[in-house]
This record gives sequence, structure tokens and C-alpha cells, in this order.
Amino acid sequence: MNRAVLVAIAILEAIAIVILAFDLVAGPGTAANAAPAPTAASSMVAAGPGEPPTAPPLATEPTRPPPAERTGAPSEPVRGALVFGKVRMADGGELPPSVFLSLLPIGGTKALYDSSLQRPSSSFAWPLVPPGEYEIRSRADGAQPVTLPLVVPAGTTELRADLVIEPSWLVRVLLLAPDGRPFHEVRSELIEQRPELRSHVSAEGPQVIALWHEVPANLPTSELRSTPLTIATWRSSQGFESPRGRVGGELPARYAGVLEMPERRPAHVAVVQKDLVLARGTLTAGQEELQLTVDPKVWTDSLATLRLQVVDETGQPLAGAKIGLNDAQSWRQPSAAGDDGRFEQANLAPGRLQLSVSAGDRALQPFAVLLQPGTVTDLGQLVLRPQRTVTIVVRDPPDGDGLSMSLVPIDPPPHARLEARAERVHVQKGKATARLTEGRYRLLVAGRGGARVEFDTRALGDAPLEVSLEPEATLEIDPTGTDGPKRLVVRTQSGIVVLDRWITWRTRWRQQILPGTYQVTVQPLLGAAKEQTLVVGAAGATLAL
Amino acid sequence: MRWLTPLVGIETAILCVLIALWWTRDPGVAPPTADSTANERADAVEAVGGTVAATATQGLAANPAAPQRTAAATPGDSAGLGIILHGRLIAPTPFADVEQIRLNCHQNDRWRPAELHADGSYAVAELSPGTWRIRCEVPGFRRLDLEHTVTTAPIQRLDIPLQAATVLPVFVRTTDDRRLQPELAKLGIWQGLNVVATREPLVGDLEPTENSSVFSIGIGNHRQDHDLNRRQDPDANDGVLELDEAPPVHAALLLRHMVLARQRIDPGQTELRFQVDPTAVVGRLAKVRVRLIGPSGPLEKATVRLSTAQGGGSAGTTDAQGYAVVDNVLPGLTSVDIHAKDCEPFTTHWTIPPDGEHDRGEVVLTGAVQVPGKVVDHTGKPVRASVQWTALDLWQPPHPRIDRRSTAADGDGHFTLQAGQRRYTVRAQSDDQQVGFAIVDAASAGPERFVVTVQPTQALHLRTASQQVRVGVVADRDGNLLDVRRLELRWPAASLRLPDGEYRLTVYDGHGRQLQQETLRIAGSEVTKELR
Repeated sequence: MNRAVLVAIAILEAIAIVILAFDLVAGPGTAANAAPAPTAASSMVAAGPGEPPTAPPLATEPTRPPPAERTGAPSEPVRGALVFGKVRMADGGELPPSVFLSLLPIGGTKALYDSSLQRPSSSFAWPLVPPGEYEIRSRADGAQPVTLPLVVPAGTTELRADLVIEPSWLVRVLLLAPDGRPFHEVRSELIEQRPELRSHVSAEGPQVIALWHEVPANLPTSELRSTPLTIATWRSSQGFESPRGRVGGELPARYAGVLEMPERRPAHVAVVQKDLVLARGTLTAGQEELQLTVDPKVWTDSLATLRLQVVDETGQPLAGAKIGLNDAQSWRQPSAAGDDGRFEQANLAPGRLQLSVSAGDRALQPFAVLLQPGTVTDLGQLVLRPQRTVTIVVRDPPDGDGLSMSLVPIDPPPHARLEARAERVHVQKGKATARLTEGRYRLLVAGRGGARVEFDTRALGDAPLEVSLEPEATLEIDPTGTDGPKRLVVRTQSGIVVLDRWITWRTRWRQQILPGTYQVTVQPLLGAAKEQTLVVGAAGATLAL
Repeated sequence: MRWLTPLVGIETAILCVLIALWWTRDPGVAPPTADSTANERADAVEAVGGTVAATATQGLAANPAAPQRTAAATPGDSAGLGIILHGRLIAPTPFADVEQIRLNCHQNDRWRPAELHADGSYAVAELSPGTWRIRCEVPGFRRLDLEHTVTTAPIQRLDIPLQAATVLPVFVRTTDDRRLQPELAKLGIWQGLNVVATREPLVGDLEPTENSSVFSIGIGNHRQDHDLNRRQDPDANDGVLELDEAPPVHAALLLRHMVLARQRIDPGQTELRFQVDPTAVVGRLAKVRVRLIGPSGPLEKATVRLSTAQGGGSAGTTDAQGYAVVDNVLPGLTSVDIHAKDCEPFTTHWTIPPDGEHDRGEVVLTGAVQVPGKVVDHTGKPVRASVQWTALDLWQPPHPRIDRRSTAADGDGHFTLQAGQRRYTVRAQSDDQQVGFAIVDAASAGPERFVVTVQPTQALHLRTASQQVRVGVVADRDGNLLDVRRLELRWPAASLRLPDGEYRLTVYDGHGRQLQQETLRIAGSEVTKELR
């Protein structure tokens, strides 16, 4: 080795020794235990953890704060803890792009804190969490929801709570037409060729559902845009809510989407358009890719037609009547009937749709229409009756929000394909107004006191409908033991339905209900329904599904 | 030579000892922690896949942190958690609405929001040692924008005293005592009115902004209703002006960057009332005239939309001769979108001067072209990315590049640009912040996918102390535009990411005049540039 090289090495080593020595003497190990020195730039009161503020504030223009009060010092009674922690994936992978965290008191519905961690952030900190029992809940696309019980003991100032979240079982789904091309491409071409389809089909395309048991050939109908009868979450790569950039960010364009499964075990899957099953298949545990063939003809052949004529009580056609057909999650501009009051709409997705018909000051009561796949449903003449404004007044209303009202027509529907539909009414300070078609209705009030009232608008006169509330009890519904969607119907002894829902989730929830004896029907998708009697006392009850 | 060899040997030995000491030193004091995965501590809880790990299930409880602070289970835990800054906003009166409080920590392009309790207690997670800017806006109090040095201590406390602002209700009325905002809404202008406070009176209009407003600059914060519909209530006031300094100060009523009225605020003044002639305000708006020519002549029924970065704006449709007139255009830096059947999606920026008619002459649209592309990483592997593209011949300083239009490259890296027959600068950014650029000539592009290669990047931080707009333009060595950052008064700092390499950085003022140019080298570490 020549002299020049040795000299260079000696100099470099000397520099490294000086840097390392300096870093060891004045490095973080020392700084970590020292209260930060106040500087001109550090204008607030800073102190080490758990220590009182040590420096008077200094400020630079234009933000000169006044002298700081000494607050939060250990001499003060501890009012709450700083709760903090980290979220990580169980498999050591990258967190989803967004993780949402909530801190809720046990039994409470209002979160103390709602935080959103955007990648690459993975830590959270919540100040002043009072002593008590809590749950930290997390949710994120591509990960299983987690609920972490947390107790903040009195006197605690700092508490760490880490969350480990499990990645979901993500299945890439290829939907192919019989010719082998991606179904969404074929579907787009069809819509291009038949523009009349555009206004009545969803941009997202068909949905893929999963169940732990076989998917029935005919699914129960729902008013929703997509059937809720699934144990998985479907993330379509088509339409506005495409998953690219979220779950399935690695998804090539030929895939229809990603099916997010809650557990890795064998399952049955189906391609559905609203409630119509287009194709079925199976999934084996851990399968990463699913390919299903969907014949576009099955879809186009399923489209239904609705026909009706709008008339008044004398049978006179009501020209230009407005007809609205929507699912519960969409709203489209109503279409106009012809001069003869006739209306026909083709290319409708079969299933249950909300029907609204009005002409001037006349309207039909709120009904849902059931459309069978590939058929024409002719409702015949629908008689529109005058509307009136009904004011509903709650005697001694509770303070604040939480009272809900709904109205259901109880007159017999004018056609076998029509079903009564409940409409919610906005309540403010115990008062609500509703524009109602003349007829008989049932009013259900719940949330902060309950009432069930039947009335006929024609008997009301100009007086408001006064309602007295009775104390409600809490019914806790526990679906944690369910293994798939179940329809829960709760009826009073006189047959009034107070609750009718498909339960597709597995977390408990609480429902306010008037004390009394009820008949409960639990209907699985496959198999027989189970009936039971439920007695709800003033102290409430629990209903395990 | 004889003494050199032992010296090097001794130095090597010392170095080895120092490295060993450095490696094994205590990296700092960690927060009280007990990672239940290790099952070694009882002062933390952890949930796995919806179930609660042993420590929690046994008592549904997380025990309090030990009173003495202990070292982290592993250095990685502490590093991953970052530093927590917490404390309390100290105010003489309770906070009316904690939802309205904004408290954030910034360090270059890193941003950490605070979680706030109703009493003003706050906590910010995941900070790192160094200098951070803390910005705090609380209704009724002076704004704070201050530097704070975060040390290596894992949990640090900082109480922030607030000082009451001078709060003046603002009334912006027409000469016949109607609210100006609802009158402007009738012309399609739903936002843009803004009051600023300064120590010295403003002289003339400010430099054009790409936003709907210059927002809160100077020494005051004009707090308005966020709900644009409620802002149109003819009987409401126009929010409040919260002054960071006691009067006397100067206030100006702005419509975007244009000064509509000025007045001095004196000590003891209880409200701020502007009265403006609506005709004069309308006179400051622009009428923009343009003729659109397509590949086969004048374009009929094409739409021209002129908007701000926040949307809204005015639109016009061309007649049979291709002429369109857009009325009541808010002057300033304007986003231009032209849609014409079978023509390119035409998107660019124009600076529209105030006060009267502005003829843009003829704009020639080419036919629409679909250009297939592919994003790969430096190993050639396809990657998912967000892709933006800007027509090089339509861009000019001090305009931004087109960054509100993007397409996604899918899992195969495939994407398609909806373009015209022009040259484009194409920027792709992957989920992991890798960035790549390509210059593509859409007029001659074939069916083969052009490739954008994304690479690891470093941050380029641009800042300015100037009280004027500064625009940093990064170009490649051939002078092709790659990226742009506009530093306006409200945001005098911005960052962008560039792969290692040599670039050209040119600085312009808000009118497009070149101020400086230099070669920019990015080589493995972030770079900060002051734009003068």
C-alpha cells in the first residue's frame, strides 16, 4: 500500500472518530433525558414527558402568545390518560391505505375519537381519555375489523394499546362471457349498442356474493341497489367506486373486482345483478383467484317491463303524471305518463323497486313493486287520491335528537304486485309534517319513547295528530352466533311488524322497543324458519339469533 | 511510512470501539409499553384479528403504565411509534366547538394532524426529532404558526397559550344595502369573496391565484360559513374577521386576487362593513371570447368551461362558426376544459385579465388519440400507478401542470391516455412514492405501449420568503417540463419528488417572468431550494 493511500485512510478514520465521539457525547441518549432548551423558535412551554412545563414561552412575531399557565402538571388531579399505540398487520405487511380507528365507551354509540391513519402513518394518540371501559374499533379496506377492549384505570396518565389487524382473504374475480372476453367489456359493448339500457343499469356491473352454504337459485328481494345477502364484501373494478388504489391495487383491468372474504374457509359464490342470480360457483379455502362465466343474454333476458295507467277517482286519465322507480339507494328523475295516463318502462332490473306516482296534488300511497325477471308487470289502473299535509305532534317530547318516525299505509294495495312501504318522517323537537295521500296509515315512533298509532287522514280534519310516548325498553339483538344472513321479523301479538330485516352482520346492536310480548321469526336463506315468543320487560331483553 | 501503518492500526481499533459503543447505546427512552405479542408486559393491550390477546381477555383490562418510564421492548417499536407531542390549548374561555379547531404539525412535506379533546387537550402522533411548524387555528383566537423543536424524548408535552383575537363581524353590502354574495351567486360566482387584513394598505390587485381565493393571508383570518348554500342567505352577515394583531390594521375586500374595497380598522371598531357598487364588481369580471377550430373546421356545440382550482366557474357553447363567449368569468389563473365531439380533451390554463373583454383568438383542437402506455419499475416489473399528462405546447409559465386529471395504471402497469396530437410530459407515481417521467409524442405514437419507468425518489422542498408568488419549474436536461410548484402567499412552501438525476430548476414570478435558473442535482438525499 503506498503512502498516499495510507495518509487518506488515516485522515478518513480520524474524521470518523471525531464524528462518532461527538455523536456519543451529545447524541440522543443524552438529549432524550433532557428537557428541551427553550429557543427563539420554540415559543411554547415544552417539557419532557410527565413533567411540568419548564420554560416560559418565547414568541416570534406575529404570533406572540401570552405567558403560559401551568396546566396539566402532575400536581393536578389526573382527568384522563394519553392513550396511544400502533397499528400493524398480523402478517407484517403494509397497512391498507386508510385505517379508521374509533374509541367508544362500552355500550356507547358516540365515539370519543375518530381517527384516520393514512399510509404510511401507523400510530395514533388520543389525549385525555377519562377513566372507564372502552373499545377501540378499527376498519380498513382489505383488513378484518378489530375490536379491542380497553380499560383506562383512574390515575393513569399514559396508556399504550397496539392493534394487530388481519388481512382479509382477497379473491381476484374474473367474470368472463362465454366467448372468453371479460364480461364488463361485453356488457359495455351491449350498452353502447342499446343506449336505452344505460339509464337503468348500474355503472358497477354485476355483484359477486358469497355464502358459507349454497347460494339459492332465487334470492329474496330487497329494495337495495345490491343484495345485502352476502358474507363477503364485493369491490368492483368498474364504476366510480373501483378498487384500484384501495383493495386490489394490483388488479389488472381484465378482472371484474375483488371479493373480500371474512374467513379462510370453503364458500359458495354467485354473480348477481340486484337480486337475480346470473351464475354460481364455489371457493376453496385460500383460493386467490375465481373465474366465473356469465352469459350476457341471461342478464338482458331478465330485464323486466312495468306498465300502468294513472287515473283519478272517476277513472279519468291523468296526463303527465310523474312515475318514479328507484331502489332505496338511488334517485332518478321521474318519467312522465302519456296524455292517456299510460306509462311503460322496459329494461328494468327485476326485483323490488320503490314506486312513486303523483300528478299535481294527487298521489299514490308509498308502495314497492315486485318485478319478475323477463316479464311484463301490468299494474292496470292506479287511482291517485288527493294529498294533504298532516302535522304530527309528540306530547312532552324528549330533549334533543334520537326520535324516529315512520309511516306505513295500511289500506290494501291496489295490485298483488304492490307492497306497502314504510316512509321515514323527519322529526324536530317532537314535531313532524308529512304530505300524505288520503288513506289509512300506521305511525311508528321509536328511539326516545315509543308509540304505535293507526289513523285515517280523512278523519283528522285540520287538527294535528297528537301522539303520546310510552317508555321503551332496550332489546339487544345478538347475531354473533349466526353463520350467514338471517331474516328477523318481530311482530306484536296483533301482527304489527315492528322489525323486519335481513341480518348480514355479526355484531350486537340495541333496538328500542315498547315492552310487551312479541312473536319472532328467524328465517335463514336455506331451511325452515324458527318461531319464538319474546317477552320484553321494562328492563329490556336479549334476543340471540 | 513507518509511523503511518501503526497510526492507521490504532485509529482502526479506536474506530471499532466507538462503533461498538455507538451501536449498543440507548437510543432514547421509550414510552411505557407492553407489547402483548411478546407477553412480557401488562401495561398494554393488543387485539389480533378481532379477538383480544391474553392480557386483555384475562381482565378486559389494560393496566396503567408503570410510573417510571421504561425502555422500549425493541428499538423498532419505538421507531415505529414515533414521538408523541401532547398538551393543551390554554384559553381563558371554553372552546365553543372543538370541531372547528385546526392544529397540525408540518415538516416539509410531512403533515401530522392533532386529535383534540373538547377542553383543548391535544395529541399528535408519529413525529420525528427536528424542527416542526405548528399551525393552530381556533375560532376567536389569534392564529399561531410557530416553529417547535421536537427532541428525541418519546412523549413530549407542549402547552399552547392562546390569545384572544379581535373579532369583527363582516358585512359586505351593495350600495342599495343588499348582501353582495347572493348577488354574485346569481352570476354563478359562489365563492371568491374574502377579506384580508394587513399592516399596510394593499396597493393594487394581488398576483393572480389558481385558487378561488387567496384565503387567509396577512394578519387576519376571515372565517366564513363553509356551507356555500348558507353563504347565500340574504339576511346573514359575511362571517367574521379574526385579527392576529390589535388595530389599527388595514382590511381589504377581495374577489379572488382583485381588491374591491379597502378600509382601515381602528381601535375600538366593532364591525367591518364594506359597501361596494355591484356594477363595479361585475365590471371587473371578464368576458372571454374564443373560436374553436377542429380538424375539419369550426367546431359547433363545443363547450368551454373556465374554472378555478376549486371548480365552479363559467361555461359557454360555440355557435356554428365555432365562437363561444363566456360571461362573468372570474379573472385570474383559470383552468380551461374544452369538450368537442371527436376532438381531443383539451385541458390547459389561461391567465384571464380583469376588467372587460378578453379575446383568446382561435384555439385549434386536434383529433382525439388514445395512447397506450405502461408503467414499470427499475427492474422492469409492471406497477400500479397514477398517471398525469400535460400538453407541452399548451403549457407556459407560471401555470401549473395539469395535475387534476389522472388515469390509473392497472396491475399490469397498463394505462391509456386520452390525448390530442401533441407532445406530452407524462408523470407516473406508484403507491410507494416512486416517480417516473416520459415525454411522448401522441401524434406519432403507435400501438406499442410507451413505457414510464418509476424509480425511488427524493424530496425537493421549495420555499420562499418573498411576499410575491414564486413558481418553481423542474425540467429535464433538454428543457422538457417535468413538474411545477406554485408558492402562493398562503402556502409559501411546497415539495415534489424526483428520482436521482440532473434537472433544470427555473423560477418565475406570478406573471411568468423568469427570475433565476440553475442546474439541480438530486443524488440520494432530499434537497431544499429557496426561491427568491
